[in-house]
Amino acid sequence: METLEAFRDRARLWIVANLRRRADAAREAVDAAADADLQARIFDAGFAGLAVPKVYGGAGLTLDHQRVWAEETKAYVTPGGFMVSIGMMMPTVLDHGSEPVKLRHIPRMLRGEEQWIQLLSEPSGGSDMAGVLTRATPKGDGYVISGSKMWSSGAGTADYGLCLARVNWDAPKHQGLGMFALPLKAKGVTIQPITPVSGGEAHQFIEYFDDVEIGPEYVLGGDGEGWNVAQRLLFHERNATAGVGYGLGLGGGDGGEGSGGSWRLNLTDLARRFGTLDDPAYAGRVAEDHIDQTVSAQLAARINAGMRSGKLQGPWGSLLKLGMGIDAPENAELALALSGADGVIWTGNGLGGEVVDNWLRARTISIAGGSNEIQRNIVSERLLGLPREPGDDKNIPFNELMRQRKARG
Amino acid sequence: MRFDLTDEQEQVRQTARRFLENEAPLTEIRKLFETPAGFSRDLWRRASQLGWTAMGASERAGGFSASGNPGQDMAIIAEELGRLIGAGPFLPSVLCIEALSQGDDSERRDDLIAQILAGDAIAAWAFGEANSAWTPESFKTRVRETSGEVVLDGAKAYVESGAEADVLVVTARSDQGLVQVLVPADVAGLTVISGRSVDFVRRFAEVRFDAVRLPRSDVITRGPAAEAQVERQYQLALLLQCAETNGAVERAFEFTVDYMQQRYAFGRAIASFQALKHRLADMLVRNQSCMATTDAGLEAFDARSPDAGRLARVAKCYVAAKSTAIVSDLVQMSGGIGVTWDHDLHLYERRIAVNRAVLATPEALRLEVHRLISA
Repeated sequence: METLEAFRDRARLWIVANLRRRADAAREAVDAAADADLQARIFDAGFAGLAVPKVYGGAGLTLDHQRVWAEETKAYVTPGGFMVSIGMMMPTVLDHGSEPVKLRHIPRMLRGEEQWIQLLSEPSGGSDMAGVLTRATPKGDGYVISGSKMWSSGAGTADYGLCLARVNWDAPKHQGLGMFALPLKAKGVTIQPITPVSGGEAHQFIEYFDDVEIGPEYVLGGDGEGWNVAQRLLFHERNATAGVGYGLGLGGGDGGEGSGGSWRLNLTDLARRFGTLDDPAYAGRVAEDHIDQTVSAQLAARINAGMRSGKLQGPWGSLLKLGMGIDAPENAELALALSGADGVIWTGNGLGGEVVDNWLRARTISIAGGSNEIQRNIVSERLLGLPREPGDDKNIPFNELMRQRKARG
Repeated sequence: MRFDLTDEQEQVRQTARRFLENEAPLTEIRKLFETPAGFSRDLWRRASQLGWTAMGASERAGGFSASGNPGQDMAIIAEELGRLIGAGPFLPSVLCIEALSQGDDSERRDDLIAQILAGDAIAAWAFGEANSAWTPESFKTRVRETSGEVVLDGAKAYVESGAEADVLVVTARSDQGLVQVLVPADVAGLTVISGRSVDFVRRFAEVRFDAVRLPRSDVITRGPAAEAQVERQYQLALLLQCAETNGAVERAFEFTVDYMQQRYAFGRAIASFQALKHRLADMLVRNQSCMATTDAGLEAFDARSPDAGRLARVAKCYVAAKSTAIVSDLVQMSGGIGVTWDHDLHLYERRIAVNRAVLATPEALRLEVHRLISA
């Protein structure tokens, strides 16, 4: 195995010769085609999927090599559009996919030729993920899928989605599920955009499936294994969000530890621009935000170090996610305070600047990817070992549960 | 506390924890509450002999290092003291040792340092002044230097273990700027007015200086060097105080969560109610954040980073504000028993409240942070 030092030297040589420094490319619009082209060049040079076995198109190295790569590319422009596909879906496929699917699709994911997303939440429920109503019915060797999914990021352009669907309605809620790699460009798929609260371009979508056919090798895990696969997917998602694991360094060159800052506005700069920085009425609050921003980055560094060293076991990414979910709305509200009328009123016909955007979108961070309340359950139950709330939904057949719900009105 | 302690640091931690659990459990702390000093000289001597205060001292004076990072080493002890509301002049001792070690002619003070390290001499760090004045610019205690001697006038407030001290390290101002002076407690013109605090065992005194005359050799440091050294002592004080608070919160959190697992209401453990356990999850985020910012501050302190002053203030602002909120909510979750004398939670509330105020409140320090970032 190549040592980390040798790898660092080799990576650095390639990076300096092939990538552009971020400072030089500031304010350039990110173009999906250019992003994919860059990912292909990184793949062709052997730097994509560093911890993925060679047989699946990876480099056969380790996650420590990926960390080195993230460190070395920190100051350079790297593709920013593959966090979900390569950072979260690819490792889930690696863990649970069939051999033919892994051999065929992982190299395409790593090269940026295929985008994979997750299809978990539904119009009828997001936090209670095991309550999915999308139906997978056996047909021939495979299945047909009917139902709908919602909040799926990137579905408008994606190729495949990992879709949680109910296989067995007589089994209890969590046990009757399957996870399917669903082709989003296939017949029977209708995709509609969801316009975000701040207006503008849609990044999330609602999908309708009308008897979409799935081949047998596109089932992940086995029948009834869907919940376990979903847990694994969420594990990779939390890690990627927290800047560890397979997603490290896929955040467009933020070194993977940008979780302490990239989602929040720097209010010292903002207050300076809006003329409130030296106003004594705001001084304490500007400082408070600076403190929160500093500590949030320090927390991310601490938890990441603990997870990398193995001292921290379990879903500690949830703790970081919760920290962000608590801080983001506070940061957004403070931005309103510091920008005053000029933050929310402007001349011209635009949709508004960063203060407005941040205020309207702050709750996305505390809802998407598992709401604060879900993270609080995970932290208290799985990090602190506290008992679950009793539920009446765990041990009875799902169709019986549905009947009870209907009867209660 | 960091996740990557060296073996030596881990050993320091285990030894300190065992000593405190065996020799100074909370039942002992309750007994010390009744005493004027708030600590036992004998116990302090034995704790000192474990090297608690030695990790910031030079080897020449009898110090030792667990990791080469004295701030991080000392924070291990501070955190353990926090967990069991430790008694004894830990912070004053290490701050005085830091002052004496960095001052002029520090070799001359090796004997005194050795006595402090052995727990035979008690040293007090006389810094803050009345009305919560914690910035050296605001100090009114004055030093006049004549050809043969120095004369000290003024008063210091909130001096930890001041009434028990054999010597004091006093921070004062002269016409040339900041000065630190070593003052024997029995010198003429010095008056100590003992006092108590909300904390069970931490006593603070007011110390008055009325034309106290000392030989010039008792000046530890002066001028620009003094500014830098005093700032460094202040940073260390803030960070060790944070570490102590973190240990206290961590322990209070542990036993309250244990209680909530055993306490049943409406047919189930109260720790299973989301209305409560969601708040516990938030507390874990905050306590981990407190540890993260304290460790980051200590790392900057040990590296003598130019950013260390800002990071130490950030840590204190964050730790003090979040920790009082956490412990107050822990009382709420404990129910009625949490507001009784016999329950231990108030010992933690007390320690955290005094730590919040001493060395400056987060509210005051936020304005210092504001100055640093808006410059």
